[in-house]
Amino acid sequence: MLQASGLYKSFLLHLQGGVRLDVLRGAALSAAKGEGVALSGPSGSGKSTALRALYRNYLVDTGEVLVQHRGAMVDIVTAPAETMIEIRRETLGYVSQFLRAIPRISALDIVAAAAIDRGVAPDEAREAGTKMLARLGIAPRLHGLPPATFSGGEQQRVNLARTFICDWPILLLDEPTASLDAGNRDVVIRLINEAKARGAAIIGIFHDSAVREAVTDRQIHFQLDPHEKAMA
Amino acid sequence: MSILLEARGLDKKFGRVVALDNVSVSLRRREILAIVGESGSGKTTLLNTLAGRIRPDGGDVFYDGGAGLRPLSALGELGLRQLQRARWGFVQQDPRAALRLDITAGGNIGERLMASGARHYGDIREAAAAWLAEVEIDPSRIDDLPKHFSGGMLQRLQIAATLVTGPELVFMDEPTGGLDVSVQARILDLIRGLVRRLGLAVVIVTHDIGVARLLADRLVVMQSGRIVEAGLTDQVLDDPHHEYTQLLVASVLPA
Amino acid sequence: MIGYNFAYLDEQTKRMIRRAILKAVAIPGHQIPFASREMPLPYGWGTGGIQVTAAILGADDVLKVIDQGADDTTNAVSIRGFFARTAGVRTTTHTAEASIIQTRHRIPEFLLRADQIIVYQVPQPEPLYKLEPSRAAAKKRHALADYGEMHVKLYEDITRFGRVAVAYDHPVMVNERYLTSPSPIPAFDNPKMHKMPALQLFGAGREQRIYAIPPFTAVRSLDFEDYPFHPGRAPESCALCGADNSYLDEIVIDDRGGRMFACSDTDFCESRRGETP
Repeated sequence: MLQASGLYKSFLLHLQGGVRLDVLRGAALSAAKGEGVALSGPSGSGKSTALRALYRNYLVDTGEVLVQHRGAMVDIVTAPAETMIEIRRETLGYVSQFLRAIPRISALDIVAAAAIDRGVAPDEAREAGTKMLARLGIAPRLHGLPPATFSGGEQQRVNLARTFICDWPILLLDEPTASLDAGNRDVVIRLINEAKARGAAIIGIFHDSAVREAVTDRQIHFQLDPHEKAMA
Repeated sequence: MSILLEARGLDKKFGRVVALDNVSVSLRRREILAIVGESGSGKTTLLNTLAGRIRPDGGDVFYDGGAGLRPLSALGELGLRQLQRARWGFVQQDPRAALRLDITAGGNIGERLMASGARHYGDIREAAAAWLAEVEIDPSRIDDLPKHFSGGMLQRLQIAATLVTGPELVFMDEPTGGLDVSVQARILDLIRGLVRRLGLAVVIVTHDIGVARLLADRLVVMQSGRIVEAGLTDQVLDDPHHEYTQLLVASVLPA
Repeated sequence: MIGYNFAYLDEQTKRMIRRAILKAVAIPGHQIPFASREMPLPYGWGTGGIQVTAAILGADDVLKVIDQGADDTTNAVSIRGFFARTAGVRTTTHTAEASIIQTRHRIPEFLLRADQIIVYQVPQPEPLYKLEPSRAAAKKRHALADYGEMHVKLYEDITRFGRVAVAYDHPVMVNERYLTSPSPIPAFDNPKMHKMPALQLFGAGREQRIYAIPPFTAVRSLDFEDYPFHPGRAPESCALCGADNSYLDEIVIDDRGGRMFACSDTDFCESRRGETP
């Protein structure tokens, strides 16, 4: 499903006098259908960078990230922008840590938009969105409100709903349950496992060991020492 | 999606000032491209050149109107005007410059339709009323003069007057510049919704990174007439490589 | 008259104006610039029309001059007298007798013939000037036949008044190519311009433009499909001759709101009444 190898990523901070941070030095990882992979390691070790690189939110300097898209393996590092947009619409889902709230759009519309982008009819999308929001414990009175005024946990649940409303062959999750209580955390675990059962490959960063154990089958450990990367 | 508009090696000087220096950029159908930069970066010159309003000193702009990419210079003045009149749209920063303040709202919206040959008063009026509703202006104001409209309303009226002919390509020059923040949000939301629903290709110039992030699929960063960085919007803003891009991103005040 | 050339203007000037007229006839409805001369009457009083008439007048011509349809207003009388003195030509008040008719703001009711020429006095030759005050931009529009915006004005009229309220100077498309100002004739007269057998010449002295509509040319008044052009007219009959199909002047006859309607075309009215002056 996904195979990344030889990932090198440095950040050249011009505004800090040209300081160079070598964050990824030859990292590699992969995930197969129905498999859950955890990226673990101390902060600053590059796991977040690696995850974002898999989405091309960060652009690696060299390396390959092969993703199975429309039947073929596509290297998203070199893919043209329009292909990447297509991949992000159809194949590669990403749950960030925080919701980027857009003013004036209601929670339901944010969630439904993701489905409508996939070609689902607006009515159907809104119905599915309502169900998903309910599943994640968002009270019906909040569905029609823009999430900018929600609590952090509520916002994150809208964020999750927006991704899980669709089926994704590959799902990238960056601390998806960080701001959630135990009950909602369990809902998310179920959602992830349902996705896995449908054949999704899951790659994520999970601070919560309970979640990590419940949804992942193996770990890739990132170390702080920039000259070594070890695989668990 | 095929390439709809492409600029190759654009050069433009105003006196000794280099406004465009070997600028190349392309746009596909249904894509939203943001041109970001500060004043003097050349972003507005680039937009106007892409829209055929300025002739470059070097290089050319190519447009695919259905028969493959053709240079704008081969179109002739009449062909270009016809293109700009209906299939293209241009939303200016100052709606007062684009609208006729002594013509009714309906007349303003209907103008592009009439310029394109519409000759049925009833149909024109119906289209105008429908578009007023689309941009959240009360349709009962169709016979009001825009000189009494607020800045936000004027901008929404301009958007309606531009989109009424169903263009496939729209150029926008800082469409929310100079408006109050809450008004900006409303208009950005409107633009976002309309663009997605109508499947428009858009080139939008903005100095506001937040606007670019909200609306654009792709982004080019301009400095002193050159494109210094380009790519997917979130990638350029979250992982800026060029020094100037890093400066721009770091300069945004957190709310 | 001693010291003046035939019809006042020198021959070189007449040549210049005739060249402009030839160009105008060759491009129906298109405005041709010409070097308007200093005339013995101020701008706004018909200097353009007089120069055109002077350029085409011959010794055998019979000239009629009307102002708002009447032969006997001050201007009509003055201009007729002017040509009588400087050219010695026969003048008349009868439309049928005239070979050249100079007019301000009306077309005669009697149908004109192929052997006649009508010369219109034009204050503002540019039909776009209200929408497009820039001359350069207006020129471009004419060149590119970019006229859609003109309908905006008509749209506004219908919106404000429920109908196209251009009572006079309703713009026309000449030969389906050029948008033209018919001069401030009432909309009622516009249909007469369509395929008129006579040559129509237009002179604007202050604005220095000449244009023409050759005989039997298509002339169409701008309108909307669902608001077709309607030549307006007061729903009255002439109080003097009883005609119900001529353009009427409204005349106030007392200070109690009393009014009467009479034909604006004096020759037409008198002929119907059997009066021969």
